[in-house]
Amino acid sequence: MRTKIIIALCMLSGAVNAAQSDFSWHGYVSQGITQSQGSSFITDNGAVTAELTEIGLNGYYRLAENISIAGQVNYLDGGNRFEQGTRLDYFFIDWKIPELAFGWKAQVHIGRYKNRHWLYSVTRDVPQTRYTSVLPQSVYFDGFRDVALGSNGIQTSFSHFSTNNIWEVNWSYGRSAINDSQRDFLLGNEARGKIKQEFVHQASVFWQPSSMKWKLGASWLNSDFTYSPAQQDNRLAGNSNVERIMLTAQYFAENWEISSELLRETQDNEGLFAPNFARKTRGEGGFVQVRYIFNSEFSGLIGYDTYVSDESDPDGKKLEAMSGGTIPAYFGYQDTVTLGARWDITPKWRLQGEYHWVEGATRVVSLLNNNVASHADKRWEMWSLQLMYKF
Amino acid sequence: MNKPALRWLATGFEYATFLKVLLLLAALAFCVPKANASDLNVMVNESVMLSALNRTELRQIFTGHRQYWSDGTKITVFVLQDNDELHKQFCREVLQMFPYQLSRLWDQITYSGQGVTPIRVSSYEELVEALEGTKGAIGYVGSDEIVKLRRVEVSES
Repeated sequence: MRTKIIIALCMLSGAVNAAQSDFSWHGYVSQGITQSQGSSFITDNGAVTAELTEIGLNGYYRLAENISIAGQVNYLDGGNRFEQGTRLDYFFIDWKIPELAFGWKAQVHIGRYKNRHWLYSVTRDVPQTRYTSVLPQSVYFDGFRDVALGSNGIQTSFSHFSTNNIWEVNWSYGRSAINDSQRDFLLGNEARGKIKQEFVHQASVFWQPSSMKWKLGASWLNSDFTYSPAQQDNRLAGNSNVERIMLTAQYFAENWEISSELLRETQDNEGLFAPNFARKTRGEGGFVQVRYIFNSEFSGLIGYDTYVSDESDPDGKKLEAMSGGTIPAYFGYQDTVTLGARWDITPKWRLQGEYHWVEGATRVVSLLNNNVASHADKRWEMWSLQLMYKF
Repeated sequence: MNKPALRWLATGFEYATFLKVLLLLAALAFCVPKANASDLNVMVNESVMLSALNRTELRQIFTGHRQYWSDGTKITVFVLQDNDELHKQFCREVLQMFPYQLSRLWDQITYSGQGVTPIRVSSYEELVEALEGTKGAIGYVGSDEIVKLRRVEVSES
């Protein structure tokens, strides 16, 4: 399947660039090798595999002066990180409103839209737009990626360009289907029922100086989920509310750039595990990444990412005690140091490699799974080498 | 004055010659930046009836935030590759951005369905040809001697 898609896209790519009409096509193909050692985060038993494939094809068609239709289909394989397969990444009506009051303009997306509230969320699956193939897990938690990527509903973006400032205000409201893999991350692999996302409501604001050298922003997310148990299920009906607040900063210099996002996430669960169960936890974390650009072909990256799933228990000791010792304390947090390198072989071809040293495992597996401890050591590592092509 | 090189300087160079060399160097110093400044010009296809754009308008056009001229004609942006010196000069001097910033923005727009990005051409000749042959086109050239294009003055605001 994967080989056929790669061949088909390569054949298409030759004809694509000529698109200068109202219809345009683009895409990307990427294949890598990867391994996680001391953890099943990407591969099992420390195996080196080719489970790092990202292929996408998109189209953009201008129906009228300010109305277009846009869609992208992709195929993803990220090992154990998320469900392998083909996805409808986005498919929406794009309505541009070039003149609003006081010099503002707007863009409205109706359909399956992309989350544009975080730094990398809008093109999270496009390897050419990321620093690393595994994004900082504090913010871009792979276990819940499909819900965070986009939703079915409406998104609006308002922008204002002046001599000194650029403002962008985004708002969206929608919902996503939750697959079994994401259900397992939320409720553990013993859950058999269905999770429904009732809604996800997001807003963000970004400021940039006119040169776009800085980008400062803040975003907010609120989402409700309900669980309907299967006939034979050891989980009960219940609901969960997730609220996330994030701060974003990015700076571009001629030879280096720095990006950082900080988050605070509150999860409020009711039911699910017992009729009167109610628990509220607050996770915190964030990342900082610095990329140094040696020349137009080579650049290097260093990053640090940290997350604690319960800010009242930063070293996980309470988690270990509450589980009677079955969940080690290091499943309460996750700290990662990353080194990366990039070689832009030609404008369309890139080779990118990265190595991550990790302590902790709170983003490796659902803490509600059986035998959690078997999924990761306290200290573990992962790496990947990825060749990518875009057209 | 006993060292050979200094003696050569003292005897071989007359004052007048030295002055001429100084004047020549000064003239070159003044000429070089002017030559660079006039080497880069923002140009539009002859169908586009405007003679000036400010930096904010240019940034909107080159970052995909403005897609039509005021008469309703579609804007088609042509640029050279990121590693081309003329493209780097345009990014720095006109947009006051770095080429990799623009490149990332265009990738985000292209792969998230937000709009249409500039068309990258692989040679200077191709760029000029595309600008001359595409209604509503905008780009840049390294000389203002091309008669089939309209030069656009860039103002601060």
